[in-house]
Amino acid sequence: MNITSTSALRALHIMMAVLGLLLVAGFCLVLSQPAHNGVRWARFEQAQLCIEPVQTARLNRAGLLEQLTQAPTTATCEPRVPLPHVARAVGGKFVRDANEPMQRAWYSLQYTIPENWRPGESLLVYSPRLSGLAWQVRIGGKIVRDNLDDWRMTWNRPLVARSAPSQFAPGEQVAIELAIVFEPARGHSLSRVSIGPASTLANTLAKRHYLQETLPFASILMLLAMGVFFFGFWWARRAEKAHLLLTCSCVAWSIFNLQFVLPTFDEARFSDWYRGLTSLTVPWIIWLVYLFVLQIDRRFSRLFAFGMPAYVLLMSVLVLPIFGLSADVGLVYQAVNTAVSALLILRVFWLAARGGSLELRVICAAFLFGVVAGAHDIAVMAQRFDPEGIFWLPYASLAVFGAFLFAVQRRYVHAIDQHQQLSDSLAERLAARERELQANQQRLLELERAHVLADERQRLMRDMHDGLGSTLTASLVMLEQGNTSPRELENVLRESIDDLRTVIDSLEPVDGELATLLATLRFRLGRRLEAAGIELQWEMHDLPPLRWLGPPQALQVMRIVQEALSNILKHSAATHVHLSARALGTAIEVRLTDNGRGFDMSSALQAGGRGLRNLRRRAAHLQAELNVVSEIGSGTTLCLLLPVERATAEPSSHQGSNATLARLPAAVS
Amino acid sequence: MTKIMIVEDDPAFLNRFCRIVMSEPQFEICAAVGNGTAALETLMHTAPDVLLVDLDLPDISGIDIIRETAQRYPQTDIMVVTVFGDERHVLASIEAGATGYLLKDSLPDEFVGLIHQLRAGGSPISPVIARVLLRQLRPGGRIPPVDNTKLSGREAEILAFIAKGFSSSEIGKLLSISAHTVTAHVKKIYQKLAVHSRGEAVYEATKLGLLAR
Repeated sequence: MNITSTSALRALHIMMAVLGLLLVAGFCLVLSQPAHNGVRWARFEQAQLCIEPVQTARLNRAGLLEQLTQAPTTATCEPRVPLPHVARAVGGKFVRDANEPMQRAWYSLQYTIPENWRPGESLLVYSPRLSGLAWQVRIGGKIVRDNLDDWRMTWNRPLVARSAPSQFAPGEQVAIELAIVFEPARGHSLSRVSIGPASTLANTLAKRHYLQETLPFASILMLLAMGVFFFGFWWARRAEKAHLLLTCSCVAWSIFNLQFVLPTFDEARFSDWYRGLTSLTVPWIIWLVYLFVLQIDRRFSRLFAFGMPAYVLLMSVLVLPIFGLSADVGLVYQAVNTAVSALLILRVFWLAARGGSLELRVICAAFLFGVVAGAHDIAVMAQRFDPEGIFWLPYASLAVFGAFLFAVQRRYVHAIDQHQQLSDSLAERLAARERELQANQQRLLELERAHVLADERQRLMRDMHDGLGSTLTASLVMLEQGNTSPRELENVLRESIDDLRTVIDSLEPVDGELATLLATLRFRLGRRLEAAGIELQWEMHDLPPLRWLGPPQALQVMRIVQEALSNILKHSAATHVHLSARALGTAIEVRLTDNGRGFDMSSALQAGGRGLRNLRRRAAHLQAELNVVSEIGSGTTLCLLLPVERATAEPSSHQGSNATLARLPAAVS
Repeated sequence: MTKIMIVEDDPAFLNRFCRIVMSEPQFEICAAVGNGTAALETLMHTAPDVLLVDLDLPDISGIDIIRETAQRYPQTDIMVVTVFGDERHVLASIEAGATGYLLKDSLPDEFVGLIHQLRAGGSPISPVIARVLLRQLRPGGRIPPVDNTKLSGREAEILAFIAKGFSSSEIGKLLSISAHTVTAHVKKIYQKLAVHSRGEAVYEATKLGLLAR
């Protein structure tokens, strides 16, 4: 990388850092903006509370409306109760008593219009959290707002009521009344109430809305998107069960988070199923999450492996409105789930402590937050803690999935690293192997060259020894003895040249054509036979090519036939010679017949029989069969059977080069 | 009378060839030189009927002399004189334009007979050369195609017989032609090869190691 691009990159990094700092600072500024300027709106920390019984009615919008608008009856009042005020459940039961009477709580506040009130401003009443069945707000004796349209969400919606824009006179006393219908068995609560001009409270409302509804809703979308992403991964690689588990967890958790934001149904039978379905996701989530952790850390536990499915099934059945008790088991149900999660997290902690990876530790931290969030939410629901707070579980889901994403990311990065390393080392090994192979090839080539050289030297030696060498030596001896006529000497020298020519002819390329080889012999010797008055009958059939017929073998074949012919010339006194070559099954038969005087086989062999033995030796070299049949007075027949295919290599006399070859495999491996 | 020119660097052989040629009344020697330069000089003003040339000359390759002669005097019969008559040398000579060859140790009557044969329009051929020509002029396949432009069917037939060792007279009998016609065919084939390879003569000679000495 050159200097300019390096500095450009550094500048980019600095710019990004500055931008990030600006963003963080901006957010801090926005968040630290005072939610309210105390001068213009008032927060009430106490109120007058009257509790009055109301007629029991059906638990739906119409029934609740009737109860909220009933005329006041006898009421027991307390002039000042502190806010937040929590009226805890009395004698809680798991199963609702349909005939149990309900009560209505009246909170009364007196708001004094401030001096700097701007005309046309609306009056806004806001309380972050309250519990009960439904509520209604009256300002100056007029019903301004109730929450009957989504009364089942009372538990997770702030109370907001706004008067019509009206002309309040500064200093005017305005009576604010909040009515909450509730079941004594479940109690009710109200957090502090802020009252003031609508404009001054808008910011506070928006922030609360964002934290309590928008973010949890966003978490649902995020979880669904992640689910789609993981599902895609799983679809592409089915063997990776972790992705399927994550997909299921995402879907389950997004369903669970639904209950924080979506309005429920007015009618109980729909509402009960809706709540049952959203609640039953909790044990499933716990189980799926546990299975995912197992994917990361494969230490197995029988208790958890069989206990978890049983727990999930039991809880799923219990929470659905099948046995009629489900609608009211909410808190107990959540408590059991939290306890199981706590047990699970203990186990995960235990795993993490005993040699868990970084992923497992991060997941542990997220789980811890999840359990804390669950406990917090239960406490809030039970009106024991943080009566104005928001629920944390939607955030816990994001934290846990963040941890999962981290784990998956680590896995991918690890896999990619491994792959990189693998291909690197593979390339390296390949290169090394290639070098090794090249070296071996080189060595093999050298050995082969050495072998060929040794082979050729052996062959030349043998040829010289057999042919030219012996003929020349013989002529030398004849000359030394001094009884040689020039005619004889000429013959000896001609023989030598003939032999040399045969050697050279054997080197001519014939591509395994025995016919051409024999033809060459005739071409050289034919005139000699003619001169000796011998008629040669030539019978050449179509012959299969002999693949083993290299120059050394060609020379042997030629020598055999040549020797036979020269024997005929010298000794037989024949007038007719018949040479035939034909294919006979897996062999080629070369037959040489003369009509000469013949000889006695047994005496020929007894008398040393060098010529005959020589022919046999040459034939054996070729793995051929040689038969000579002769009888005195009826000519001689020589029959050479050459195999078309040779099973093994020629039984060679050059042991040295063979030994070199035998060492080869050891050198290669 | 047949005018014969001999190019041979070995005086003994030159002497021998001269004696053999002179022994035949129908022949006369028009020139006998011992090196390539002298041969080329002589060829400037003399047109022999038959040129006997040794390939292995001290100054110029015999191949060059053959080529020069074949171009200058297409009517001249060129005979190469070699020790072994091996494929390499004979083919290179034929490609340069020779139509016959002699072995240095040939018996005198063989020698004279071959010159006569050549004058009569026939060429000698060995089975190995026949085989190589068969391959070279008709690549691919043993059976000659009828519409072959390089080698006629009859020519290919003759070459195939020669490669299998049959003599001219035997082939003549088999094909119902005279032995002389067989050798005449061979001469024609040689000429075809020479024409065929004239374009690539230099390349061929280099390949055979005859020019790069």
